[in-house]
Amino acid sequence: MAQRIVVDPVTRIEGHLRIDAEVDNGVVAKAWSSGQMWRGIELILQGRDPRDAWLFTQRICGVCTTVHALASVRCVENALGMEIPINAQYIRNLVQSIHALHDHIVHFYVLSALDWVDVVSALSADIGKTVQLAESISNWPGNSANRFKTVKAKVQAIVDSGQLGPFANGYWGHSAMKLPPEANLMAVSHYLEALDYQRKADMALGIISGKNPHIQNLSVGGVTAAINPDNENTLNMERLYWVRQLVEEVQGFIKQVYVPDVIAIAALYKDWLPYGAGVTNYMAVPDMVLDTKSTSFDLPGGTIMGGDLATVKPFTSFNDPYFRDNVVECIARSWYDGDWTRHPYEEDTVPKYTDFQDEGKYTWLKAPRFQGEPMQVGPLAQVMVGYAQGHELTRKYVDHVLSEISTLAGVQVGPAALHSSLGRHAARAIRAAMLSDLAIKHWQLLVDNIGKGDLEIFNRPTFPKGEIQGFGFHEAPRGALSHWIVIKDGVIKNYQCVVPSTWNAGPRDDKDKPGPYEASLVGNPIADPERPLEVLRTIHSFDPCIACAVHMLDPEGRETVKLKVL
Amino acid sequence: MHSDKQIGILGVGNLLLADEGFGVHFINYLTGNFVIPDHVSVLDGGTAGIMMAPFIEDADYLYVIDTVASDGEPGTIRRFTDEDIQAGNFQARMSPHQVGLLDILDLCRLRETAPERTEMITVVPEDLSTRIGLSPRLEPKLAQVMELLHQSLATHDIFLEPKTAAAGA
Repeated sequence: MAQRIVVDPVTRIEGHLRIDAEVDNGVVAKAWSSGQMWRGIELILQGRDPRDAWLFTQRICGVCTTVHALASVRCVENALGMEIPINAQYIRNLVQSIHALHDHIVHFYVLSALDWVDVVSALSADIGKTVQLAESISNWPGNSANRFKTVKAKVQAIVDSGQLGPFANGYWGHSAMKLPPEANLMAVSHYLEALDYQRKADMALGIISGKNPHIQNLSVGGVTAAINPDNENTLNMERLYWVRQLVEEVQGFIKQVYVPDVIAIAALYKDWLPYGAGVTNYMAVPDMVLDTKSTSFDLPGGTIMGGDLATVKPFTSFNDPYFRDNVVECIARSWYDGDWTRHPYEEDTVPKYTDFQDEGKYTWLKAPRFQGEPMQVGPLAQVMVGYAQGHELTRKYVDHVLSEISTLAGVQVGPAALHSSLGRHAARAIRAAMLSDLAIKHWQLLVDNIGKGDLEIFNRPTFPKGEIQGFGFHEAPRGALSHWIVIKDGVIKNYQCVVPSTWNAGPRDDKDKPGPYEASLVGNPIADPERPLEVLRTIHSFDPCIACAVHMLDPEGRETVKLKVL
Repeated sequence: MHSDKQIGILGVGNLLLADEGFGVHFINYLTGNFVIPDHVSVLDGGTAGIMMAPFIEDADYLYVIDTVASDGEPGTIRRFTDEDIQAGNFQARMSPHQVGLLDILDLCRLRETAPERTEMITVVPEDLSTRIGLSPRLEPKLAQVMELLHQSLATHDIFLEPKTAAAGA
């Protein structure tokens, strides 16, 4: 007989997401994803100066401050047809890549590793065997017997005290937890270490962008971080070298800890590789810009339809009509007035709440569509699109990760295995490794360009009379983010943010096609409906953060999953 | 004289939701009106969650200014200390940032990097609509919270000088 599970809220961070899943014979048969809060942030922007919009949009979400700032200045620049000085492009690239390093480390270790890692099981780990395991996958100096002993004692103390702190809501001892105790101990050790490297990334970001968590150095037309190699009050060589050193330390952690951990988890959970694919239409936007006109990139973007890599079609510039003309949002199943499907420039935002209706409206999220299709966005989409285009850096890391997983798992694991919950984690680690290389590359490009005597950072925007419109996108840690602006006489007339988590967590549309979260849960095994660890695994693999999707903060917060089995 | 302890003053809140942004407005008020000495760090944390971790880990004494959606008249000011947090008096219907903050404090404790003492000064909001700026009811609370913060800082022999006095001196 079918049972219904409601998981609410799903996330540990901001945003209030509810997942309903119908379970039949231990397998999810149907699922609904629902954003539970609404605030009309767009309304705050109407009537304001477009040059100030980024200052407000970076307040939409506490996790993704930087990304909304970037997308915002880009949409205004697009409306004005502006070129951006190359130094400013490189500085923006440094900001976005370092922000992503921070974000991916936090997501994996702090927000989702405990879906796979059983903290309590770490207590039965043999220290010698843990060292052996760790050394077999990495030469990280932190993997010492002393370190593992200390961590084990720490976990013991927490369990003895009964105050589980950050481990309070884990599904310890769940039958779907499969790692040997030694792998669990190694992962807990890295979990505690991860914050040190997140911190280094934050420091690097602070040095470049003035201030964390809200960056200060952007401007429509460029950046405001004055460059002068010899002036201590500007972005000078001393600061730039400090940034480089911090990024290299973070890169060490990513390549020697994060990537090997993901490989080990994917191999040890190889039975989970078939689960969680869902929507296999992928979309990523190009980023890490290499020229002033924004037509050349170090991270490729484009679309793939139906999981077929041969269908890949690139986005070739920040002004590509293939992107601009094919994005719509549908509100047929969302708590807004009407049932329209519209282009972001044409949207309005008139809330109309009903109850949660399985066959009607059930969410504050809209359903974004590309050529009428739901699209999965995020690191997996970006990696797939790059892989399909033969992008060298992507190929290098994908091939490395797949071959290591194959060796460790003792079975051949090819790119098709990436269409899965574990594939999303693997792709995020791959993307982190790529971005650590690219951060250093763009650091070098910036330093070389400054070395030529070019200190330009800003082109002044001028606003025409009459109405203009523009779109700006950014490949954010959670995927393709786009801002859409209509400007009339130099003032904002309309503003829409189409955010990654709306693409992924959005509902069904007028043709009843489910969104990526909903589709990805179908077929997932559920060992114990009272403890639906498997639902969290698949949803967390998307890195959910729907504060910006619904433009609101979670009033409850802590992940005390209110679970209802109906 | 004060010890060499590091003091952290953290304002949190969402600037786009009227009174919800109280902590952020407070940081602007503080830095606009007072000279901040070297061993005192001030941060507008917005709603940044885990990104505030380095700031929190650097503080020996941490003061958090936030709104709290609890019972009580809008404008009511309440203080919470470590004891309240440990005792779990702090869980119900609090703002999202404090809860994120509690997660971070838990994690920092596990890493043995948590502040020695944490104190939260919170205000009950009146208006949580989507707009920027404090309600008339909360506007005067900036000075009152400042007064409480002065008292707490005084226990560490820290006295913040008003900017005008410093300029005139």
